[in-house]
Amino acid sequence: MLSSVILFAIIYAVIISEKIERTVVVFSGVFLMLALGFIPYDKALHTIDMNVLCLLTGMMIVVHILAETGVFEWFAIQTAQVARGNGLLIFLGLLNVTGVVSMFLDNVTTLVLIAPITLLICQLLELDPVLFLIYEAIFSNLGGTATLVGDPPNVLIGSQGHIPFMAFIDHLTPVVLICMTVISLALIPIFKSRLRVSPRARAILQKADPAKAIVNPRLLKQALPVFLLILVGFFAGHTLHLEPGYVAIVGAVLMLLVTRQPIKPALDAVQWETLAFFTGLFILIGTLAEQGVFEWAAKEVFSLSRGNLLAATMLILWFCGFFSAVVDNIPVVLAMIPLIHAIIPEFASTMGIDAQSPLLTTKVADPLWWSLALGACLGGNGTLFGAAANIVAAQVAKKNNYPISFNRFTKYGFPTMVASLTICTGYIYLRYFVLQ
Amino acid sequence: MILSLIIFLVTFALIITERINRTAASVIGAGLMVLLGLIPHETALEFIDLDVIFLLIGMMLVVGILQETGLFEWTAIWIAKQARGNPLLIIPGVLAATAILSAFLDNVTTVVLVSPICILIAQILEISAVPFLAFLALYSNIGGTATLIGDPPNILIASKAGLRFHSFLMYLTPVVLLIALVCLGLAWLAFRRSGQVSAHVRQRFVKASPELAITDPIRLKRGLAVFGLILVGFTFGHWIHVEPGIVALTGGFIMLAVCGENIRTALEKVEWEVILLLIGLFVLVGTLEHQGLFELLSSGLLDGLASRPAMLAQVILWGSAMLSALFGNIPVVIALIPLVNTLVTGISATHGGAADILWWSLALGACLGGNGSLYGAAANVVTSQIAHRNGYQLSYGNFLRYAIPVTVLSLLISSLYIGLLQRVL
Repeated sequence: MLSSVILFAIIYAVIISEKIERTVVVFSGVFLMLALGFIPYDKALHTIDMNVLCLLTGMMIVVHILAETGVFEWFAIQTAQVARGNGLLIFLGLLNVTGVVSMFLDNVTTLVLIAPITLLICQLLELDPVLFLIYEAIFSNLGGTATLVGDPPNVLIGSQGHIPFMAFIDHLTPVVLICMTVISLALIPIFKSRLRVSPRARAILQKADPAKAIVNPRLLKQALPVFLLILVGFFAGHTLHLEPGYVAIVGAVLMLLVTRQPIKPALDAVQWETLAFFTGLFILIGTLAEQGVFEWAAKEVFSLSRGNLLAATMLILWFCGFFSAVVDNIPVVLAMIPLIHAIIPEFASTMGIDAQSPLLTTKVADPLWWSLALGACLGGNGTLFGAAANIVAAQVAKKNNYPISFNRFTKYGFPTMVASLTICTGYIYLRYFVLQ
Repeated sequence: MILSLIIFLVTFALIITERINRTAASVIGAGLMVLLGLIPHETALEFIDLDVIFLLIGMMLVVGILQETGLFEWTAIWIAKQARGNPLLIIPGVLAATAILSAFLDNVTTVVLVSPICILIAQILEISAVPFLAFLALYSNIGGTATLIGDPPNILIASKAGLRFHSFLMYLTPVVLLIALVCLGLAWLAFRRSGQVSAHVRQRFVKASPELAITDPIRLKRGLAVFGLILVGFTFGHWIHVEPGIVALTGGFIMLAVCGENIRTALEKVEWEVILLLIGLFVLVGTLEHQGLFELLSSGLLDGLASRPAMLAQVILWGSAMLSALFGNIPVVIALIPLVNTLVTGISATHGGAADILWWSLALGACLGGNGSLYGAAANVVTSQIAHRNGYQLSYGNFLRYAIPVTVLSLLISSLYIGLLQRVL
C-alpha cells in the first residue's frame, strides 16, 4: 500500500509542477501502477467514471451549439445592463447564481453553462475572467453541497445511508447558505478595487442591444426545446434512474440531429485533453482505493476519536475536507460510508441509546453523516484537483488564453475551504451538541 | 426481447443506409435501449469495451504524428518503386504484409497504420482506393485469425478454453495461409481492370526517390523510437498485465510530448465520430446479449445436434459466421463461448481431444465471419471511417461487393478443413 501512495505522491507532484504535459504524466503513472501490479487491468478500466466523461462530452457539445446562436452574448449583455455595469454587483451576482443553480444541477454542468457568459461579460467590461471563473467553481461546489442531487458525494450518502431528499435540505441547506453569504461578504473588501469598470466600457455597454446578439434565431428556436428537454432529464433522472451523463450525451446528439448541425466540428469543440486527464486520474485514484488506502485512513480516523462522538464528527469533517482537497472526494466518501454504518451502533451502545429509538438518528447518525457530506463536498474547493468543476473552469480559462495554475487556484480555494469548514464546525457543534 | 430486437434492427437500418449520421443513429438507438429499461445503465456501460476504445484513440494519435513526418509517403513510394509501379505486384504485396502484421498486432491497429499507405499508393498509381481499402480490412481480419493474439475473438476463446499459443499456430495458421492465398485470386479479379496503370505513371517510380518524402527527419526519428516502444509494449505488456489499450494511449501521449506536438490539436485529429459510433454499437449489441437473444438463438440451434459432432462443428462454423457478420464478432463470441464450452465437455467424454475442433470452428467462424459485413468487425468500421475522411465512400453496400465473395470462399475452405480435421483426429 505504501509504495502505491508514494508513486501517487510523485505523480501528483509532477502534475502540479506543470513542467510536463499532465496527460503524459497521468498515463505514465497509470502504466506504472498497472505494471507494478497495484491494480488488475479490468478493475482499472472499471474505475473510470463514464458518467462524468459522458456528462462533460454531452454538455460541451450542447454549449458549442448554443454558442453559435448568440444566446450567451444575449445573457451576458442583459446581465451586465441590469447590474448597470457595476463590476462588484455582477461578480457577486454571478457567483450566487452559480451556487443556487448548482444546488439542482450537476456542478460541472453549471460551470460549463455559466463560463461562456462570464467570459463575455468580462470582455465587455474589461475585467479579469480568471477571478470570476475560479470563484464560480468554488461557488458551484458550495451550492452543490446543499442538496442530495447537487454533488456526487451527496448522492452516494443519500442512497447508501438511506437519507431522504428533504433531510439534506433540512440539515445542509442552512449552513451552505450561511457559507455563501459569509464568503460573498468577505470577498467585497478583497476584490472591490479589482472589479472597477472604466467609464468607457460602461458607456459601450449601455449602447449595446442584446437583441442584436442573437445571430441565428432559427438555430436557437430548434436548440432551445432540446435544451429544456435535457434540463428536464437532469431533474427527472433521479426518479427514472437516468444518470446525468446519459441525459447529456443522448441529449447532445439529439440536439445535433434536430438542428442539423455537422457532427465533426461539434465533436472537435469537446475538450478531449480534459477528458483524457480525468480518465487517467480516475484510474490513479481507483488504484489507491484498490490498495485499501482510503479504508486504512478511515479506520485511523475512527481509532483517533477514541469513542468520543464530538471528536469523531470533527475528525470526519476536517479529515474528509483535507483528503478531498487532494484527491477526488468520491472514493473518500465510498470508504467512509461503511465505517460510519459500523460505528453508529457502537456509539449508540456507549451512549446507552436503544437501536430502535428515534434518538439514534438525531443524536448519533445525523452528526456523523452530515459532517461526512460537508467535509467531502466543501473539501473539493481546497485545490485545483479537488473537484471536477475546478478542472473544467481551468480548462475553459486556458482555452481562452487565461491559464489558471494549480497555485493560483489554491491561493483562492484553500482559504475558502478553511473558512467554510470552520463555519461548519460551529454549525455542527451548535446544532447537534449544544441545542439538542 | 422483441422490443430490443426491433430497436436494434431499425437503428441498424438507419446506420447502414446512412439516412441520418450513423454516429447519431447509434447513440440515439443505444439511448433508447437504456431509456426503455431494456438494459440497466450500469450494465450498458460495462458493455463498452474501453480497451478497444483506448487502443483506437492511442493508435490514431500515433498515426496522426507519424503522418506529418512523411513516413507513410516514404513507405508508399518505396513499395511502388520496388514493384516498378506494377499494381498487380504491389496490391498482393501490401495485402500479404497486412495479413502478417495483423497476425501479431490488433486488427484495428493494423488498418489504422496501413490504410494511409494504401490511400497514398492508390493516389500515386491513379487507381481506385475503395477496393484496395476493402481488401485491406478483409486481409487484416484474415491475418488476425491465424494466431491467438491476432483477433479479439481468438483472445476470448483462448482464455475461456485454456488453449495455448502454439495450438493456434498448429491448427489455424495453415488454413489461414491457404485462405489468404486463395483470396488473393479474388483480389486479382477485382483489380484486373481497374488496376491498369499507364506506362508513363510506372516510369515515374523507377526514378522516384522516397527519401524526399520525409519532411521532418528529427521528428520521424523520435516518433519511430516511441513507436518501437509501443510495439514492444504490445508484445510483452501482457506479461506485466498492461493490455494494448493503455499501452497505446500512454504511448500516444508520450509520443506527442517527445515530438513536441500540441496535445490539444493532436487530440482533435482523432476520429471521435467513429469512437462514439463504436460506443453506441457496443451498447446496442450488449442490450441484445443482456436480453438473452444470442443464447436463445444458439441454444435453439444447437440443442438438436448435440449427438452429431460432425454436423455440430459445421453448424457452429456457419452459424457463428452469420451472427458475426450481423452483430459484430466480439459479442457473438462472448455469447457463444459458454454454449460451446458445455458442448465440448459433453463430447470430450466420448470423442476425447477431437472435441477441441468445436473451438476451432468457433474461431474460424467468428473471425472470418467478421468479414461478412461492414459491422462484422471493428477494423471494417475504422477503415470505412478513414476512407470517408479522405473522400472515399466505403459504404455498407460497397464493402459487401468485395466482402461476400471473400467471406464465402474463406468459410468454404474452413468448412472443408474442419471436415478434414474430424477425419484425421
